[in-house]
Amino acid sequence: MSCEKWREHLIDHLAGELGEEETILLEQHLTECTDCSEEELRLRRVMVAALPTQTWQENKATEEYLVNALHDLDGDNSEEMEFSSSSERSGLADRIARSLGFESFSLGLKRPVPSYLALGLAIVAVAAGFWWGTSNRIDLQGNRSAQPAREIQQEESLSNDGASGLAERHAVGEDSSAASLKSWPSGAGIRFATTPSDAISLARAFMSDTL
Amino acid sequence: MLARSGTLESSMHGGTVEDDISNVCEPSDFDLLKDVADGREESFRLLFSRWAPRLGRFLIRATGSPETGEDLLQEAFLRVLNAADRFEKRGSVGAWMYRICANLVYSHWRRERSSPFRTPSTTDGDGSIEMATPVSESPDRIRVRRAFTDAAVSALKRCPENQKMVFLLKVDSGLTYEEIAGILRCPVGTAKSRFHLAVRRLRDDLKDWNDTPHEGRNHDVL
Repeated sequence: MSCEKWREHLIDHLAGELGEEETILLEQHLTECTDCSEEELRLRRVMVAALPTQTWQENKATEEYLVNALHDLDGDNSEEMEFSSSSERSGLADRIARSLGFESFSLGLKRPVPSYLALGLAIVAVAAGFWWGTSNRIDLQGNRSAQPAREIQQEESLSNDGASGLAERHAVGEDSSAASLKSWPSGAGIRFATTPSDAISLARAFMSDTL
Repeated sequence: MLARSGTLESSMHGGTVEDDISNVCEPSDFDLLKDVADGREESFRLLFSRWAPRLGRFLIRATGSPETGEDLLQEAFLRVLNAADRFEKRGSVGAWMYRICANLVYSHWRRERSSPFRTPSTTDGDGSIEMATPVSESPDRIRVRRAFTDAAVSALKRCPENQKMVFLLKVDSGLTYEEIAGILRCPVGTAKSRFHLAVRRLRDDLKDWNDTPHEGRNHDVL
């Protein structure tokens, strides 16, 4: 092998990455070739000088600080943990959870539930509330409309005039409640009040029947 | 051959092989990390005693300052504490901690770029950087060696950051190309080429020092 080829292996040799067989051959060559030997020494000197000897001095203060941080973390007292880069610590879920005013909550478990689980439950609760509210919409007359939520939303989007829109919803609401009364099987013997006036009339009917 | 201070090789793959420990009766790094996630102080102290010297030295060498290195070491372990319960057993704990340190070093270098350039020097009054010097050297020889060391440190500082990082991980921590590739998440060939480029760059920057007295191959400055 030529000196040029051997010199290509010098860096890997100094890095300890040369195979055993190649190392033996290279070492042999270095004892025979002054130029390659000097090049090897030059590289070794440069690599060593660029990283002067350095040792880490044991620092008990650092260790104790970290142990305290460990206990703080275990006690879910995460406000005390200062990080130089908060974005490294928290992902999107954590940031949203904090904006909602909570870090995590405990379900009586050994460790608190992570923020992202709390966030997910909050989203489900809001969605469920929205679904329940729109499917059981109460109009301005206090009547519970039997209309599906989607139809109600479509009405609202179609009506640009607030007053006429309200009148329309009121009329539709009454028609719907009347229709709902009529839709019950006549022979069922069971009637349900869907409006306050229905409830009053039913009560009067009941009183007259019983009396 | 440069002395290797220890490798992560045994633990680089999945953590199923025992981590770099000398005594097989001691818990592995992964077991310690699990205990740390449960808040066990003794396990953390053991993990800290295992890795702080190695990581601390790496950070001091990377930053050129014992104080900055100590600060970054503290930051690194705070991140370990915070993420201990989320560590997945796909890689080794050591590689993961080195990766945290590497990211902190990159951030530090970015901040330094916006600060006045300062070369860590062996002539600093605090004497923070040691030099390995033979006992029998003359004062003149020592002076020349110090100047050469300063020049080498400055030359390394001028290297591109990716080359500098690979050089540090290789020469300081004695990691293999494969381990470095795992830490930096790059191909093994990339890690190797970056190291070669860094060494050649240092050599070219310091070619004017050819008048340094020849020490002979038996003289080991390590």
